[in-house]
Amino acid sequence: MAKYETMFITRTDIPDEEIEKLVAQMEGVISHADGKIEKVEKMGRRRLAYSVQKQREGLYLLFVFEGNPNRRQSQNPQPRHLRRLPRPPRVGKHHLRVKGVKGYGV
Amino acid sequence: MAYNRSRTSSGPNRGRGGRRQFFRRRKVCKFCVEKIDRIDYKDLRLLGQFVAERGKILPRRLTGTCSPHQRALARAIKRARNIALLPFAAKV
Repeated sequence: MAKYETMFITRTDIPDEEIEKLVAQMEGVISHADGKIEKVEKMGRRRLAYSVQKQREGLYLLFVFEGNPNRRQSQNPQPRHLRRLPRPPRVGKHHLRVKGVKGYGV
Repeated sequence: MAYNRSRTSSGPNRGRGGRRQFFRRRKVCKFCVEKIDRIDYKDLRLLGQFVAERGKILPRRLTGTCSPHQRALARAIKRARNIALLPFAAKV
């Protein structure tokens, strides 16, 4: 198992439920891929260093999780679109940017 | 005692030709000294010390960072830029 972290920037003008939805979706994707979530951190609203999709502010979300670096050896056969974790998965539609990093613990 | 010794060995000397040699503080790698083995791209207070006003990465020759740490630092700064924590080019 390797450690990964994925950071999301979402729009600030979306309701809280949308964020909860994104978190739930992400949890689903990770657990489906035999991963284990270690931490979900809401880093809060921040001014972006440069505008992204015409937004000057964003809400930062951080997921820290363990995952299997070798998908083919995992116990559950994966649906195709989930095989490529930790590539940022397609979840939600309100985020501005996603970044995944391997090997970062907290 | 150690302090005195280093002062006399590298203190201002009168070199040949009467040119004054400046006493320059020796630069040391901050990451080696503080034993930071993992440079986190989220630690903006740390990264900010190695970024110029325009958003450029400061060269080793100015900051004294050792080469393995400079490489890790550059990686962290580029990650931070990618997720809009640091600018690619700041307006002056």
